Amino acid sequence: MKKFTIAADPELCFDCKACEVACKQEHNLPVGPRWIQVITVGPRMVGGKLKVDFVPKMCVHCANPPCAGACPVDAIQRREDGIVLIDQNLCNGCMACLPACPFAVISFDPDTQRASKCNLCVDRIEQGLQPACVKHCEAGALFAGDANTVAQEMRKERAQRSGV
Amino acid sequence: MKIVKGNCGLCQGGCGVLAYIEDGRMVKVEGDPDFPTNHGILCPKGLASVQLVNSPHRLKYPLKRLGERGEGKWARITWDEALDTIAARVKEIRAKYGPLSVAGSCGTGRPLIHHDRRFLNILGTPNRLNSSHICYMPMLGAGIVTFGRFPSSDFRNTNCILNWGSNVTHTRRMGMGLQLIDAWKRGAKLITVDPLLTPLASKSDIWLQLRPGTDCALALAWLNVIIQEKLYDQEFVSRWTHGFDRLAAHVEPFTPEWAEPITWVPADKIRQAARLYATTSPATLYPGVSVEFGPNTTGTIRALLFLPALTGNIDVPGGNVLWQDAIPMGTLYSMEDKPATWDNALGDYPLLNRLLPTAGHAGWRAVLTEQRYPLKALLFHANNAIVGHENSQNFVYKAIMKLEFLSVMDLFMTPTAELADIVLPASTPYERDNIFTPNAEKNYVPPAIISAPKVVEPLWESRDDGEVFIDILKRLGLDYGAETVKERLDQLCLKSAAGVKWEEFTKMGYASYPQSFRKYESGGLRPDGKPGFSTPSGKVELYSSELEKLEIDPLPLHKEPPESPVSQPELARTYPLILTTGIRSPVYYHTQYRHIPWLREIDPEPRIRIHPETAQKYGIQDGDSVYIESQRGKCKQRAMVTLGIDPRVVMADASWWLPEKATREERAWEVNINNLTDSEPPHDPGFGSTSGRSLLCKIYKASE
Repeated sequence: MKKFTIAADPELCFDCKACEVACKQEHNLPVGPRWIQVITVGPRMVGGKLKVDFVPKMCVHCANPPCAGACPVDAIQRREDGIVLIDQNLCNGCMACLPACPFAVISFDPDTQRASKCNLCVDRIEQGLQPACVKHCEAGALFAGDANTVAQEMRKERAQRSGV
Repeated sequence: MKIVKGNCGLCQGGCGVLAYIEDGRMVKVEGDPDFPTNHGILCPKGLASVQLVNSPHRLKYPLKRLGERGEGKWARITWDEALDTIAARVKEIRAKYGPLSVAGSCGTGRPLIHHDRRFLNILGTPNRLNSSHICYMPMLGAGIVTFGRFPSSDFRNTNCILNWGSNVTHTRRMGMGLQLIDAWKRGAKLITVDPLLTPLASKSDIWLQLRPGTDCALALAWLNVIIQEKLYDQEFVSRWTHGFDRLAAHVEPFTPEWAEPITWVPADKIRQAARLYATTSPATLYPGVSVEFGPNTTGTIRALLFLPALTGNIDVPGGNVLWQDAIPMGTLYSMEDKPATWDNALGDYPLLNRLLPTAGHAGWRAVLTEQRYPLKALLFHANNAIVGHENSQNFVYKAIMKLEFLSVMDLFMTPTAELADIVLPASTPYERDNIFTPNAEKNYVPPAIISAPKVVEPLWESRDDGEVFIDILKRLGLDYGAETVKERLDQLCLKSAAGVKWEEFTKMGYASYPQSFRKYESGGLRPDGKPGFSTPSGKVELYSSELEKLEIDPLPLHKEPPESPVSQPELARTYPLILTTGIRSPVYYHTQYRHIPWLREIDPEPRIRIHPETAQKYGIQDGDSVYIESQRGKCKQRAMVTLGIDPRVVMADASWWLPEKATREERAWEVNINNLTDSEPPHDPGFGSTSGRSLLCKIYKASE
């Protein structure tokens, strides 16, 4: 059984924000919930040099999602294929999952009054397509698919770029 | 639901898209994986296309002004009444003040140049009030003077990128941004020259943080290093350049030690960067629009273009290539049917006026002073001059208020449209048949012509600007030279790499000519087919006799910015900080798209970048609302305290207006950095370029 996941390599991100809008459009999200967001860290001095990082943040679909454990109504489940979903019919909007997430990537949707987060574009994945953010990333900084494949792709890319 | 192939028109790139159409409405847009420039990728602007096309804020019907100009009272009218009014007013004003009293303008949005320049030609005016003096014409024109055409960057084959004043991964992204990233990912060296630590600067091998406005001094020091250390391509230089000895003698005093106090870049770092560029082969120069500002653009750009010339990186794979355009520039800019009045264009800028007259400020000055001839009416398309032109409040606004007639065709009620007599609703790029010609863009590789067929019917009563040009001319008894937009597109496609009529071309979607390199050897650059360059000497004009005749410096010289702590120390007591206005958001295109919720959420308000030391000095904290003030005016932006900028410099967001505000003044000017920029001389003698990227200002905290 494949285990799907999504990961980002911040070294490749140029902060263009295409992932954010691709996600908004794909899931028709209102202003408010941001299933993926690029966070700027820095610029700060690191070893006498200015360094700035652009870090795409989204649900990483944990193996043992703490958000699921925190949910009092069991609305959050990890599927067989690794995708962690919030059942919008069960969610009561209590927001217990938001602080439970170690990556702080769960949003609150003001329209539906429910918790809201990346669903790994489950409909696209099931059709064999890449998530909308991955497809539109200008630098190939996002990787999605079977966890083993993702790890290999990132490894390959890193080796090609740095030569080590 | 059907999926149709189309092209995004939210900038001039024309990336291929798949548009999802449901009941005649566009509901989704994604990148077309088969399109050769973007390979399925789209930028945030393109991905928000449905929120543009379906925006409830769009202009829906033609409007005429009631009450005073700018009062905001309108009546809905029919297209016939609107066009009849425009034609009648044009006739009346031309009869009263002469044929040159009516001019036009089209901005950068929704590509129109192939329609609007022809329209103005037939109307009989050379005057098109735009920003060509600070955007693309200096680059193109300096390239023509030096090489006969502009040498574009070939990222695909390069081993070293000299990114001078551009943030192309955010701005002019498709396909140059993608190509740059690909080159960087496969290990090409990256050198960035920028006052700000941009994402590209942060990923560069070397970042030179220069003082704004000193690009020419820095480039001269690079030339000094390359010549002194004999890092140039001696064979290419001796065979194919004109005036090398004079250039060598000229730059001898311009050592890195000379440049250091001017540019603030340490001499060692200048040497290190120049050596990396000159010793990595092939290397390509990518100059951004920043170097097209200031009173010295001819010299600055030429000094930069000498870098690939001296290092033999001209017309070689991975260097700077003299590509064959997919559509001749003269065809695209309708130079074949120039009006007889051409030589009487406003503004005495010989290099600009041979390409695309005129500088916006020259037009506004003519309105205000009537010195050469009166300019009384303007027909505007896709031009938001109140936000986009220099010295908005005290210059552009005053001129607009003095006009006898203004029509504006646009997507939204912009601060400029608010001042019009007639407002016309424009179709979005998805609602009209058009071509994109990124070959005319300075750095698009490969040069191409792209067909962009309509994918949805125009919403409400919006129309294609091209149709409106044809209809206005008909009412004036003039002939556009094409009965329909499609006929005009046929004419253009037939003269291009497409080689077929419009409908036929839409089946191909994309065309470019086969390209070759080292054409100066094979004879592919000159009209006579002989080897060499299409310049007076037949060689790369390091020393330009043409400029000498025009009384422009034949060799580049550093000119201190006219408003700087060095040139105006007295003024700098009141306005101690250097203001640069260059930063561009990845989610906006010039003054457009502040209405789009998905984009506005990402970039909700304009920000001014301030170094922590400077912020502390003025009692400003990150996130504070801050007034920025120059001797011309002020505006308010949000403080972004960052180590990425020099303490002596602040960098403000450009092109902002606030459509949601209650009053016209707030919408147009509250955050508009062009209240502060300068329209007045000194201008570049060749192009009329103004200083928008190196001015003096002060900042102080605003109570919210």
